[in-house]
Amino acid sequence: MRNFILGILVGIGGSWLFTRETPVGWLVWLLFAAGSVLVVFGFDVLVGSLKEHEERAAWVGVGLFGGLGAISLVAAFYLSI
Amino acid sequence: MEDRMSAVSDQSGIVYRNQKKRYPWWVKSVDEPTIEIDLEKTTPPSIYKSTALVQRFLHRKDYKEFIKRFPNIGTKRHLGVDTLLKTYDHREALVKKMVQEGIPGSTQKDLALAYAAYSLYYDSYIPLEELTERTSFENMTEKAGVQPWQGTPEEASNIIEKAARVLGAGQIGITTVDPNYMYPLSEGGKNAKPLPPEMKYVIMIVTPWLPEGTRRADTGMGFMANRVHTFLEQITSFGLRNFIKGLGYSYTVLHAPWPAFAVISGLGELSRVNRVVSPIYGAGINLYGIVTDLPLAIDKPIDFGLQTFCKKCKRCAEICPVGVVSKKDEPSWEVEGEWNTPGKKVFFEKSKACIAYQIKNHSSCSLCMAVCPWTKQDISVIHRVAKPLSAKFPWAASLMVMMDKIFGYGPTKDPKKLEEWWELDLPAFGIDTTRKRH
Repeated sequence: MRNFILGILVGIGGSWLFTRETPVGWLVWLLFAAGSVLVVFGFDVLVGSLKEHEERAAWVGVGLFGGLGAISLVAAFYLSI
Repeated sequence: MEDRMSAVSDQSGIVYRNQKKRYPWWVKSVDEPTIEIDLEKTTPPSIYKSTALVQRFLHRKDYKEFIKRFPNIGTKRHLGVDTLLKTYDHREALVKKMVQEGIPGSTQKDLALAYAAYSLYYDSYIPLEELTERTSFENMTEKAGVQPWQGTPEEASNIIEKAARVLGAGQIGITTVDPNYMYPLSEGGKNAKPLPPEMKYVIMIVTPWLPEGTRRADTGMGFMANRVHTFLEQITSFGLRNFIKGLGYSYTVLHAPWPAFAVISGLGELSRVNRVVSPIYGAGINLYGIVTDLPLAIDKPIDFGLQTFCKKCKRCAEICPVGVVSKKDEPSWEVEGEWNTPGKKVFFEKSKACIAYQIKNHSSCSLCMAVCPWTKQDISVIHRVAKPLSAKFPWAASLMVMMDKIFGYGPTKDPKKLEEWWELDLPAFGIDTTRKRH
């Protein structure tokens, strides 16, 4: 279910970029792809590490990978508007 | 890509198992162990010189009597009977203090569980035939009046592996008896006999430690974790021995240092601690060896970059409270004491100090095993990225170790964490043996 929801969200983001009136450049797509992968990865580290009872790893993981991913997605968003 | 091939026979007629199914892609199957071995420099391993033997009896009620009865084997040989008796008294007082004061990780309930998990350990050195005869066991082959089970070596290895797994093993490795690595017959007890030629197949069983106990290493909870795997080891090996018997074949316990055969059968590589590290379970594993005449397809040693990784990592050496683990940059042929078997180029350990620390502190310590970056649960996706990276680029171990520290992996003595163990919802034996292999 977690991966399903993340997949839906990435799909919505991708569709939004694809349907922009002015086609977006390769850099935006690159940032979007990298950001999406990092956010999904960070989320998996969060959930997996909590299941391992490794709280610090969970928050460092989501902060590091999810944070970098969020920055990439925000950059992609600003470059596309 | 020999490691990707199906079972093949070599010139001596030995059949190899299909190694592809054993491990993920980043674990390579190799023809020789990854450490340098020089049989010219070796001497036969000796169970009497080993530091491990006496650990098996540490918690017998008649421990003091046992110490006096066999003054020159194992730990007693190295520490001396008087020192050992004094250390034992110190430990008794320590246990009393810890329980009475409710020291986190070593409270009454923690140690009660640890001792409960230890209860089967007492039987480790009871002659196994005797143990088998003592129990109600129905030998299917005898009962049905048929010939011993027949199948190809690959089929035999497959059913042995499936039986071992269902009986509690995390993994098995199969190899053949190698006289170079066996204990002398004279150390096998009064009834020891040479192995008949047909008794040439060795089954090595791995029982993993429960991770939630291992990370509480060097406390009563860590001690419990260390003993749960031996509890499981006893059940698993006992069941597997009866399975072999039920198929109509013979077995005996492997009278040899089990880590050597674990390396040869590809269950792991020898690490900086001079113990086996598994690519799946890390350093937190226990081993058990059985010899049988059931013809089996055998395994090859493996290489997942550990020799290079260990040179760079040194986490185990840094955490060891008594400097047992070598901090050298390169492995050596020079042994640290008579407990080491020469003839291999490895990081030899100062076992004497290790055993003394364990007895004195009434813990199985195991900090080195808990801190090993390979000792992970593999639930988080990050391990499925970090392990292949470490295996394929072991020269970058320093970076992986830095990340390991930043992520906060390794043992804990946080009182809150120690007590929290009792709130966890853990699987049977605290171990997930369906660990990600691919």
